Amino acid sequence: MTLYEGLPRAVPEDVGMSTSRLERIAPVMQRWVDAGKIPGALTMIAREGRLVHFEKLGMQDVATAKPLEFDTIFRIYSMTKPITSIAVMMLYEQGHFQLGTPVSELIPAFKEMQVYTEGGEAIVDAEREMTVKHLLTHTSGIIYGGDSDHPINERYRAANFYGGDLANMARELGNIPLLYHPGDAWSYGMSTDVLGYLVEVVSGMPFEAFLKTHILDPLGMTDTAFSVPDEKADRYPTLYEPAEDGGIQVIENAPVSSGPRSFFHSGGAGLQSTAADYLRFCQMLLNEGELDGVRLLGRKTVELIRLNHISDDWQPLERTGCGFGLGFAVVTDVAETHGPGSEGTYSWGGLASTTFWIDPVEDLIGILMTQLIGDSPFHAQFRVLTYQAITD
Amino acid sequence: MIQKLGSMPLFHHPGDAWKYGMSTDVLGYLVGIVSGMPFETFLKIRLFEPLGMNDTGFSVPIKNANRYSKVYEFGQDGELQAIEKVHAATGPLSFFHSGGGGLQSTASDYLRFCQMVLNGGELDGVRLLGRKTVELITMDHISNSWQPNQRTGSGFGLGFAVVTDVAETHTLGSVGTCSWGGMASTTFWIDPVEELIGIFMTQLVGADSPFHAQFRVLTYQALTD
Repeated sequence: MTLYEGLPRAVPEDVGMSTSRLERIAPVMQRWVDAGKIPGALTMIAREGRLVHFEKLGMQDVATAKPLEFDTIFRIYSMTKPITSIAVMMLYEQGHFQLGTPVSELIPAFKEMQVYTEGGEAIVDAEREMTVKHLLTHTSGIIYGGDSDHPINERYRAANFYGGDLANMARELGNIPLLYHPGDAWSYGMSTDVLGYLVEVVSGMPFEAFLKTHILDPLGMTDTAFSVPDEKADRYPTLYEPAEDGGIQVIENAPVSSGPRSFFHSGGAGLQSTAADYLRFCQMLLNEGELDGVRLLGRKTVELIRLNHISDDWQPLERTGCGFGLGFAVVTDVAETHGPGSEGTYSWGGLASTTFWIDPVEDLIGILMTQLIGDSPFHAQFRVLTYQAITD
Repeated sequence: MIQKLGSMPLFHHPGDAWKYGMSTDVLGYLVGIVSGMPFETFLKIRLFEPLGMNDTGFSVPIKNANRYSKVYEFGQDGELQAIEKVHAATGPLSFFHSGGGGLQSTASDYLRFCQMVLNGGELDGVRLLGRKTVELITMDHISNSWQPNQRTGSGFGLGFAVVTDVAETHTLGSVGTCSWGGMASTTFWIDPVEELIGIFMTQLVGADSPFHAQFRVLTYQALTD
């Protein structure tokens, strides 16, 4: 196993996959590169704990024709959230709090929260306390600010979440009324950023240090951090977005970044990582909490994480057929996902069109890395092309 | 007791709701009537002796008095204080023969009871119940819209709460886990999926028991298989 591969290799046929069918993936992805729609991409598939597919295509930087490499370090944005959620569950396993513990008991900035009435005309007291579970499942009433004329968006725009430390961020969030009473709806947002601060408060260690000491180092995720050191600068790609001419253009100032290669310590969006590192994180979960003799979580905790914890009426980010577990979307109805897969598959993605999924039924992990803030129709393609290669 | 209960109107029509109460006291009397022997005697010769639950009974014999714990509550100063008059007690070491709340027991006796249930009705070659009966006991028998004592994600079997939806319990566990607890903050659960029993004993009344949830998390996080 080379370092950048994350797991030992297998001949696909030895783990119930077809080499020739896996070879369908690269040409399909290459078409997106050739059309100038994405700068480049890595696709990665592991089954039964072994790597069966790892392909690189296109560029890390288009202007200088610098190729994407297997060890390119990506801005994984919201793929930070699962890692933060696991940190929370590790502390949960130590008895520090229950899922139903009010957040305000741990973070006083969330005492006596207020809530906008529907439409935002008025502000009322929260009907119930926000709990740790509300944060893990994005049912807290915390959002990401949007574009609509609801007054909450102006409050999010005006706040300077990433201008200070995590305590400052929590204070800023605690001052803004919630979009709804905790538990009453699902909305994507900064809940996981709050969890990053919660890790800091409960563990008594800086969030970054906790991740490094208790997750990243034990799993050998040596290229995952909130910043990319100078000696790895040549492995850091350029970030792109769709251009008006139908191609792509460079984004100079990456969202959530605090410098050229450093990010705010956001538990929701701050990490940089490699395909290999993230594969090791996923394999730890697929193994029910343990990888290479290092146990981060108990099996029952991983089982709880990948149960659906939200109402059947709610869909996380328009993912039909999915509910939400403790930090991940979870497939509850394969037919309704309109693609191949298995019930209980858990997944998420990042703003720059990175994505991953963990399928416990097929013992399979898929990861796709690129650096494009835009639509990502190639995700669904990659998933189809992955599953069609299963032959057992 | 039965005459008094029988002369009172019910809170709701039978079957229309879930309400914790003296129903199990009535069952204790029913055991006496149906078996033709005193309830206490039935328990002793059909349950406790066959299972080796030698320290379980409605009273604590004088020779075991030094093993009998005081019961505590929180005083107005927030400190623990011993309770002199314990609920359902008829004397310093004896209780009313209440089928709902009268027994004194030890952790190891109760463990043997739980293991009998977990084994499908049998322990160490002694069978108290058939497997199908235990299966019936540990099924949910109540409406999904009722929660026994605010236990979300749980229904109620024949004498036990039963987990029906792990996510809704907001903690670690397995579907089909049956459990209950006592007024003095004792608790137990039997997890047939993990083949696991947890028992927690203390003697504290009139207070929350957040340590139950902690104990459950700390138990399950220790599973590695």
